[in-house]
Amino acid sequence: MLISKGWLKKFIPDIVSYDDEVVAEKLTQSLAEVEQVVRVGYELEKLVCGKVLEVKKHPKADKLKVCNVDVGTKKLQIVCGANNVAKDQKVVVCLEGGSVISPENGEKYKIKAAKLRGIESQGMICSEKELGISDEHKGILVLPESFEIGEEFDDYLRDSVFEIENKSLTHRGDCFSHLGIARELSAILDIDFLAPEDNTKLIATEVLPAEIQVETKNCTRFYGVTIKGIEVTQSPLWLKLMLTKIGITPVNNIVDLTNYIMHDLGQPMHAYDYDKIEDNKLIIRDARKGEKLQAINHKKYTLDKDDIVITDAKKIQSIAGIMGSTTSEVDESTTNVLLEAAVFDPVQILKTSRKQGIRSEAGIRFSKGVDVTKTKNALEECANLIVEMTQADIASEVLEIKSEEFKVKELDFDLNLTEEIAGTEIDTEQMLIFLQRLGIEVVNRNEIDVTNTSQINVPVIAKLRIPTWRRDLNIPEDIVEEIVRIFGYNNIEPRLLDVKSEFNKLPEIGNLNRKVRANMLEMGFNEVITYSFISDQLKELFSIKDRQLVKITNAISPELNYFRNSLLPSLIEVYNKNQDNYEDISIFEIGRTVNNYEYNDEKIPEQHWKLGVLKSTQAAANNRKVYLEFKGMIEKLLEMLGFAITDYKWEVFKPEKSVFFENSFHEYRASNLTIKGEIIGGLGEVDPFVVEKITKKHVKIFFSQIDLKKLLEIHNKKLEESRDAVEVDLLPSVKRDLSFWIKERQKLGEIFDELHEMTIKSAKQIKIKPEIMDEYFAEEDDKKKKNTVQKDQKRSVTFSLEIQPKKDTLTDEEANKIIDEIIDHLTKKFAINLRGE
Amino acid sequence: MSKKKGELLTDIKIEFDKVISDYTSEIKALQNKKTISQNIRNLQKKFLGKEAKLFEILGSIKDLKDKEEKKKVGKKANELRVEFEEKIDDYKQKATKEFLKQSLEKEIIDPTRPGEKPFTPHKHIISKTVEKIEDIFTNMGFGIEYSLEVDNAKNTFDFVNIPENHPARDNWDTLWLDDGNLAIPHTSAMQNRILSSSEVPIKKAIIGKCFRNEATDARHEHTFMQLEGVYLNKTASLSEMLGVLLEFFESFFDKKLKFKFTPDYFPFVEPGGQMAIECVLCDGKGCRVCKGSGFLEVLGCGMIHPNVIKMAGKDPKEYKGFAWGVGIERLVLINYQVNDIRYFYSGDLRFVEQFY
Repeated sequence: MLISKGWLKKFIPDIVSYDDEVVAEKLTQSLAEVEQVVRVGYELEKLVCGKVLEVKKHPKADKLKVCNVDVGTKKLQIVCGANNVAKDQKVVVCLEGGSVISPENGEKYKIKAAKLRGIESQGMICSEKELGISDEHKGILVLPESFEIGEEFDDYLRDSVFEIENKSLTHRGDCFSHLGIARELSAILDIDFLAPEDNTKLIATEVLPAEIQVETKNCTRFYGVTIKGIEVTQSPLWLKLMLTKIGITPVNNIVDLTNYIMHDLGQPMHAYDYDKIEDNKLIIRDARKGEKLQAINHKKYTLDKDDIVITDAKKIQSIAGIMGSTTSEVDESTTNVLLEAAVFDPVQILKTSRKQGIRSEAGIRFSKGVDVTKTKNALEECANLIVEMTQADIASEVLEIKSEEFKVKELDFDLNLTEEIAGTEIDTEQMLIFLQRLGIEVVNRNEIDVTNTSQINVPVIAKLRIPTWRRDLNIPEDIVEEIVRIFGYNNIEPRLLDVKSEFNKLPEIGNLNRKVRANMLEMGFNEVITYSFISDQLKELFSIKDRQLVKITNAISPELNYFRNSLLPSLIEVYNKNQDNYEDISIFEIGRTVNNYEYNDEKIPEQHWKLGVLKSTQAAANNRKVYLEFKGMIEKLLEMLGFAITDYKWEVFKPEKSVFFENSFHEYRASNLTIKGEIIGGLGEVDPFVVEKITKKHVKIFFSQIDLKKLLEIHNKKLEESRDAVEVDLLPSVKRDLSFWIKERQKLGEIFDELHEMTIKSAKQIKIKPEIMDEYFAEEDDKKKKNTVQKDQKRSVTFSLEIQPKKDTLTDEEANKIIDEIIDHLTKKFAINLRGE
Repeated sequence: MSKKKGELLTDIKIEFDKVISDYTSEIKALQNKKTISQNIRNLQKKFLGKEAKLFEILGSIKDLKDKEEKKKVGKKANELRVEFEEKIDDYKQKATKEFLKQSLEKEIIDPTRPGEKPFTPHKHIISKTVEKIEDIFTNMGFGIEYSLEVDNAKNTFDFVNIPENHPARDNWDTLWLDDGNLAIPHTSAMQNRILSSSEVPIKKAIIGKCFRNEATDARHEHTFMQLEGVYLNKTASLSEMLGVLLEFFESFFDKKLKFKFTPDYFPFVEPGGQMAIECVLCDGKGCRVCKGSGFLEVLGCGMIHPNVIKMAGKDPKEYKGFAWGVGIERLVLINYQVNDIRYFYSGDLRFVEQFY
C-alpha cells in the first residue's frame, strides 16, 4: 500500500517536520513494516509557472509554434509543438538546465537551449507526461488561473511515498487509507490530528428520483444520492497529482473522485450512470447461480449463489463491493450519476473475491471491514466534491438503508495485564495516555491511590470504549498490543526463562534418524533431502497408479501433483540429475512418505519416516558383487542398529503396498526385508526397463528402503522382551568349511534358517555361526567331470561354519559329531550334496 | 727376505688403493645393489681373506728371526689390515648411501603436484543445521517434536485461530489434497496437538517440512523447513520470549547480537511481532545481504492467542504462552551465503558436497 506524505498533511500538518526516515522507522516500530520510501518528482528541476503572451507560426515548420512566455523574471522565446498551446494560457515551463521526464523512455531528460529548425528555444512548455502527472502527452498541461506567474512548480510534483507492507495489516481495515495512517502516526508521534468534519449536509437543488431496495442480509448499509448535470472531464491538477503519486492512473473526474475518497477515508464508492439504470431503481440481492456480467476490467464473470450483486430492473450493475459492470459505467456522455457508499459483509466479500479471483481495492477494504459510522459522511463528502468540481446539482436526499444499528464496543481491561504480558514495567498513567492517543476512550476506572504502595497489585480495571473504526479490538490481549506498540516493542528487555527442562528431549525417532544418518555416512553414502512430491513424469516412469497416491488438487506445477509414497522416485530423480556429473553415485535420504492405505482416527494418512538408499554402478562385470555388497551394507546398518542376522529375514520379493509399487524392481533381484513376518522394507535392483528410460549408460541401480518407524517399534518391543547381555565368547570355537553342490534356485535363506533352528534346538549349548565363503556356478562340462553332480545342481556354495560352544570346550570328537549332524540334516532336508563325495 | 716383505706390503697397499679407488669412482654409476656386496666380497677375499697376500705375510711373520724386523713387519701388516677393513667399511657406507640416494631420486614426486583426495560422504546441510538447532534447544531445556507433512485443516488453521473465512487464510498458499487434507504450510499445525496433550510447563521446538503452492525462483521455494517454538506456563511474557530467541540466535551464530522487535500480525498470536537480528555478515554495518539495513528479519512471534489456548482445552486465564516460527533455510542462507534457495532440495550432489 502506498501512502503519500503530502496527503497525510491534510490530517497531521506537523508531519512535515519529521524526516522521511524517521516516519518510516516509527511506522515500522509501532505499526507495520515500511518496505521503502520512494521520493517522487525529485528528478524534475527548474519548473516555473509562465504565461503565454504570444503564439506565432514557426517559419519553417508547420507543426511548430514560437511562443513568447512570461516566467516572471524574464520573457522567454520557446518553440512548442503542442496543438493546444494558446495565448494567455498559464503553463509549466522547464527552464534551461532543468529537467523533465522523457516521454519516450521515462528517464530524466535535461533541457538545454537549442535551435529548433533555425529558431532558438529557451526552455520547454511541459505536458503532463513530461511532468510525471499522467500519461497525457497529446498537448501541454494548462494550469488553472490561480497559479501565479513565476511561481515555482517543482514542489507540487515532489513528495515522499511510503510503501507499507500489507500482510501485517490484515486485521487493520482502518489503516487502508490516508486518514487511518495519519491517525496512527498522530498516536505514535504524539502530534495533532485533524479529524474530518462530519457536518457536510447535502441539499437537493434538483430532482432525479431513485429507489434502493436491499434484499440480502449481507448488505448492512446502503447510502445513495443522485447528482444532476455533471460534466465528465479530466480531473483538476491537484487530484491527478494526488492519485498519480500513490500509483493510481487518473481516468476522469468522477472516477478519480471516488478513488480519492477511498484512499482518503477508506470508504469504497461507486458511481453509476443514472440514465443507464432501468426504472431508476437499484436492488441489492444475493446472486443466482450462473448469472453473468461483464465487469469494468472487461472480463466476464459467472456468479455463484452467495455472491452479492446490485442490479437495476433488468441487468446486474455490479458485483457488490468488488467491481462494477460496463453497463452503467460513467463515461464522457454521462450527465447524471447515482453515487453509492455501502457496507457489505466482510466474509462474503472475501469469499467472492477468492472464488472469482478478483483483488480489487474496494474488495480489499470491504473484506477487512470499513468504519460503518462514517460511510454516510464519505458519500456526502464525495457528492459535495462532484458538485463543486462540475457545477452540478444534488438531485435527491440521501437514500438510506440500514439493517442494524452500530453498537459501540466496551471492554473491561485490567491494566496489570500489560506488564504481565510485556514482562517489562510500563507506567499506568502512561498506558492510559497511550490509549487516549489511539482514540480508545477510558470511560471509567477503579481509583487507586498511586502513592499508596500497598495498592500496587490491586487490579486496575478500566472500562474502555473502542473507537468505531477498530473492528480488530475485541479482547484484553488486543489492548495490551496497542499499549505495547505505542510504548515501543523495541523497549522490551529480553529476560532468560527460569523453568525446569523437558525430560525426553529428542524424540526416539529423532535419535534413530541421527543414528541411521551417522552410519550411512560412515559407510560412504552422501545424504540428500528431496521434495516430498512425485511429478507426473515420475509417476509415469514407474507406472504408478492414481489410486496408490494422495493427489494434490490445486498444484500450480505438474511437479507438485502427488505426494510421494516411496523414496524410490525421489532418489531415481537424484540419480537422473547427477548422472552427467558423476560416474557412480551412492546416496541416501531419511524422509517421510505419505501412504493412503492407512488413515488414523483423525483421517490423516500414515507418514512414517523411511530410509531410502540408492547405489549405481557401471561395473558391468562386477555388478553381482556390488549388489551383494550393497545388501551386506544394509545388513551392517541393521547390525549397527541392534539387529542380529537372526532377527530378520530376506524373503522373495512381493509387491507390497507398504513399500513398493509393482514395477520397482528387477524380477530376479529383489527381496523383502521382514521381521517376525512383518515387511519393514526391501531391497533390489531397480527395474532395468525403468533405468533404460532415464539413461543411456550401462548402469545397474540398486535401491533399498526401510520403514524406520516400524524398525523402531520392533526394536523397542525386542528390548522389552529380553535384553541380551553383552558378552564375549571365551571358549575356543571350531571352524569348518563345507562345500556343497546345490540347486541353482535353492534359497540360501532357508538353509540359514535351518542352521539357526539347529542352534535353538541345541538348547543354547552351541551357537552355529554360518557365513558364505564362496559361491560359483559350474559350467556344463564342469558338471560332466563330477559325476556326483545331480542334474540341476550346477551351483557350488562353500559355507564357513563356526561352532561356538557356550558351556564346555568341544573335543574334536564332539565337534566332528556336530558337523556330521549338520551335513546329515542339510542333505536330508535340501537337495544338496557335499562336494567331493 | 725381510726387505722383500716390507716392499711386498707396500705393493699390496698400492694395489688395494687402486682397486678401492676404482670401485669408489664407479659408485655413481652403480645399477644394482648386488654390485656393492660383490665388490666388498672381492675386496675382502683379495686383501683380507685366507688367499690374500696380506694373510700369507701375517702367517709368515712368526718365522722371522730378526726380532726388530718381526715387530716392524708385524705392526705394519696389522696396520694395513685395519686400514683395509676401515676403507672397505667406508666404501660400503658411501656406496650404499649413494645407491640409496640414486634410487630415491627415481622416486621423485613433483613437490608442487596437488594430492589426491579421498571420497568422504557429506551430511546434507539442512540435516546438519537441524541437528544443530535440536542441540541448542535441548540444551535450553526444550523438547523436540517433528511435524507431519500432511495434516487436516482443523489442526492447520482452525485450531490456530484462522477460521475458514479469516482473511489471513489468503496469506498461506496452501496445497490441498484429494483426501480432504492439506500439505502443511506451517509447523503451527502441530501447536494444538502439543498444547492439548502436554502437561504445563510446555517447552517445545517443532521442526518440519512445509509447503506452499508457489512458483519458484532463486528466493522462493515451494518446500521449506520451519522451526517453531511453543511455550506455555502459569506466567509468560514477551520479555522471556525475546530472552529465549536471543539465546537461540546467539548460540546458532556464535556471537553476541543486537536485535529489533517490531509489531506484526499473525492470527495465532496477540500481541504479535517480528524479530530481526543484527546482520551476522557485516556485523550490522550494512551489506548486500541485509540490503544496507544492518538487520536481518528472521522470524514471526508473539504471545499465544487466548483462543488457541482455549481450543487446546486449557484456560487462557490460567495459562500464558508464546510461540514463534523461523525458516530454517533462511538461517543457512545467511550462515553460508547460498545464493539460490532451490539448491537445497534439488538433489544436486555438487551442492551437497560443498558442506562439511
